[in-house]
Formats: sequence, structure tokens, C-alpha cells
Amino acid sequence: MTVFAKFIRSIKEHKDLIRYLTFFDLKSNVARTYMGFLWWIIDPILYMMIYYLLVVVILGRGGPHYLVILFTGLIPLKFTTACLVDSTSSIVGKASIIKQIYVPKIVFILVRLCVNSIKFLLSSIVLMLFLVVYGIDFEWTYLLYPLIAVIHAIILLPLMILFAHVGVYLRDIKNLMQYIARVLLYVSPVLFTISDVPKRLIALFYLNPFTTVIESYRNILLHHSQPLWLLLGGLIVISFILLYFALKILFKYENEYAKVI
Amino acid sequence: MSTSIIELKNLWVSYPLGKKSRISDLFKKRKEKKEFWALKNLNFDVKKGEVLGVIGRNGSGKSTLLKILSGLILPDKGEYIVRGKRPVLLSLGAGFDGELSGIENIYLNSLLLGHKKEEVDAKLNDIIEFSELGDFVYEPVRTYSSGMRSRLAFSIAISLDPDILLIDEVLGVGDQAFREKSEKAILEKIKQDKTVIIVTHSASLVNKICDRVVWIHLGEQKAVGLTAEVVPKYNAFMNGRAKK
Repeated sequence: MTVFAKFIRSIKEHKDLIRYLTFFDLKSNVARTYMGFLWWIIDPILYMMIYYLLVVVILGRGGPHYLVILFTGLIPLKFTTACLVDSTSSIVGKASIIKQIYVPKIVFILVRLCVNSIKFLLSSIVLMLFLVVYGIDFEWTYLLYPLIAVIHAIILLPLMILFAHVGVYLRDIKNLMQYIARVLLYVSPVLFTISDVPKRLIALFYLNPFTTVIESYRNILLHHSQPLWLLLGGLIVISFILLYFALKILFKYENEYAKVI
Repeated sequence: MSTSIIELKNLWVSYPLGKKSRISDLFKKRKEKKEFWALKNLNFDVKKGEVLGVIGRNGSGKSTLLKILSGLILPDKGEYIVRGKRPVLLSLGAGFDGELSGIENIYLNSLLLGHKKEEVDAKLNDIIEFSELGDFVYEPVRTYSSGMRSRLAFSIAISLDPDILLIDEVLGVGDQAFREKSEKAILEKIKQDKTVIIVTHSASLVNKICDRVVWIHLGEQKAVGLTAEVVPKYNAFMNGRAKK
């Protein structure tokens, strides 16, 4: 339990730092590339158009409302991919700071989560506007969106910590990330819905935590039905267990990083 | 007899040697023959309010010692005890983001060094004044000269008043006028009973301001004691080597 206590204490002691690093990162982002934040939205839209072209126009598949099926999958996937990719360089990328000032490494990981969460928030608004314009009714299930987003973040955090740790020791992981992102796209129900998947493969798909997450988003946004509560609950429990071990590893190795970076 | 604010007991620090990282590194620390011992069996105290000099030639382990003192790395063997807040290394703008303004970097650097936002709010004007940057403080730091960056970094570190100050030969920054101002500020801190640890290879600097000195050579502690005792030994040693 002291692992979680240390985790909470680190956040409390450094909450100003986390806030400022998040704010400055977003600001820097916008300063450096005008399209900086816009890219977060344009990227899913472009992919949506490309996959629409591929699946509907060329292959003649996809089914009704494919556009929104795609979009409701792409935006959460972007959040997932951005978090995981960012996390691998979250510690290694701050080598100069780490070698001069003692900062708990969890701070850098949390900043990546916060920055991407804000970008996710903004692109979610765009998503909902898109749905409204498309003609989908805004129902009360939409209010569950923030809850699913929080669960989504809880699932991501332990993974981010592990990726960050690996990123310090295996510089190769950065090259690997583009493939991981690709694979994630294909093993998550983004280009298709879970009902398109052959029965014998459905169980495998649910091994991917993001399947549950994305299908839950789709449920509340498109079908106006309940998110997959049971599976989400299970994922939260697993994530907390994983978080315990991830934090243990991080706290054990933190002080070695300055020697190895 | 003043109290010891820092204690190093039988301290050993190593760095891993060897080329590529292995996947096994992720899950267990390497217990290998291949390591470089940067510090070997250090044993000394730092008393509250004293000015301690750490001298030694390049590669003697001084920077490693600073990293231990500021908590960046942990010792492999032995103990490092500090009574009170972790010492702060007077670093030259670690974490400075060129895209952000001087003021934004003041907040960033201060928060990284462990201070609270309210402390910075209170000291902001003092920091800006000390740095003598004027209106440039609103400009992005990438437009600063290296002298300006150093002045900003020093102003932040000195104004935020740590109890234990670690200085790594940084006194040579800026022009003559700023250097004198910096030295004066450090001497002020010394008078205020703050503990100061200075790492340098300048025997003259040590003679000027240090009460006691630790001499480290190739990771080993060759001597520790009053300045007047240790510095001559150091000088003799260095001159002897030079003659060879």
C-alpha cells in the first residue's frame, strides 16, 4: 500500500509543477506549429476519409453510417496511441533535467497523460459536434462520456509507466512504437465494430482493453445504450493491480536513470 | 559544536559500464563485474552553517558527489543522511524551455527545484531585479545570450533560499560586474548561516571562502579538515604531479 501512498504524495507535492509543465507543453505546442493542436483533429479526420475511401468506396463494405462508426473509434484511438507513444520518451526525453535536478519521474509521465487528456477533451467536443451535425441525437448517455474517458485514462496510466521505463533502457522502442500504433489500430474495433468480428475471434479481441473502451464509447454515442459495465469494471481492477507493479518498478529504478541516460 | 546537517558514511557509488542495454536490465539490476566506482568509501560530515569546499582534479568524482548530495542518484553502498530539505544544486537553467518567456521559465525552473508556486509569486520581483534582464524577461529565452541565461538561472537559484546550497564552479558566469554580485550574494547566504558546499578545482577560491575542505582524488577521500590544513597538501600533490 505504501506504493500508492508514495504515488499520491508525489502528485500532491508536485501538483503545481505538473500543472505548469502541462500548460507550458500545450503552449509550446501551439507556438511551434500553428497547426499543432489542430493536427489532433485533422489527423483523425484525414484517416476517416482515407478509410472511408478504402472500405466503402473501393471495397464496398462498411455498412450504414460508416463515417460515424469510424470517427467514434478514431478519436479514442488517437488518445491511446498518443499517450503510449509519448510515454516511451517521457523520461528519456528529459535527460538533461534528470541529470541536474531531482524530480520524481512519475511527474513526467503524468504530464504526458494530462497534455493528451486535454487534447482528447477538445477533440471529443469536435467529435460530438460532428455527430450532432450528422444527425445523431444528443441523449443522456452522452453524459457517461467523461466517466469512460476517466476509465480509459486509468487503463492507460500503468501502461504508460511501463513504456516510459522501457524507453530509458531500450532506445529501439521508439522505432517500435509506430508499428505498435499500427497494430493497435487493427486489433481494436476502429475500422469495424465488434459485431463484424467472427465469433471465434471475439474473445481474443476483448483481450485488448481498448476494444471494451471503444465499444463502450460507441454504445453511448451511437446506440444510446449502456457502456460495457462489467468488462470496464474488470479492466479497472486489472489496471489497479498493474499500476501497483508498474509503480513499484518505477520507484525502484528511478534513481538509476540518471546514471544510464 | 555545531550539528551535522549532512553525513556521508562509507559511501560508494558506481556507474554501470558496458555498451548496450539488455532486456534483462528492465527487470533486475545488473550484478556485474563491469562497473566503474566513481566514489569509494567517502566518510565525512557537513556542519550546519559552514562553507565546505570539495576539491580534486577533473574526473575525481566531484560531480558524482554533487549528484548524490542533491538526490539525483543513490549510493550503492553506505549512507547519505541529510537533516532537512534536500540540497539544491545551483544549475544553469536546467529545464529552461526556449519557447517560453523569462518569467515563465522562472516558474518552471523554480517548481522543478521543488519550490511552491506561492514562494515564486512572492520572490518574483526580486528574481527579476537581480537578473538585471529588464523587459527581456517577457521575451522567449531562446532570444537570450548565454550570459543572460546564466544570470537568470543564478537569480532563480539564489533568490529561492535553499538551506543547503550546492555550487559547482558556476561562479564564473556572466561579466565581471555580475560575477561580483553573485559572489556577494553567496557570501550573504553564508552569513545567514546557510550551509554552502562548493565544488571546484581552484585552491584560491577555497582559501578565500571555505571553512573546511574535502579533497577527493580518483573517487577516494584523500583528506578532510580545515582549509589551512588540507589545501597545502592538495597543492603539494598537484605540483608534484605536474613536475613528473
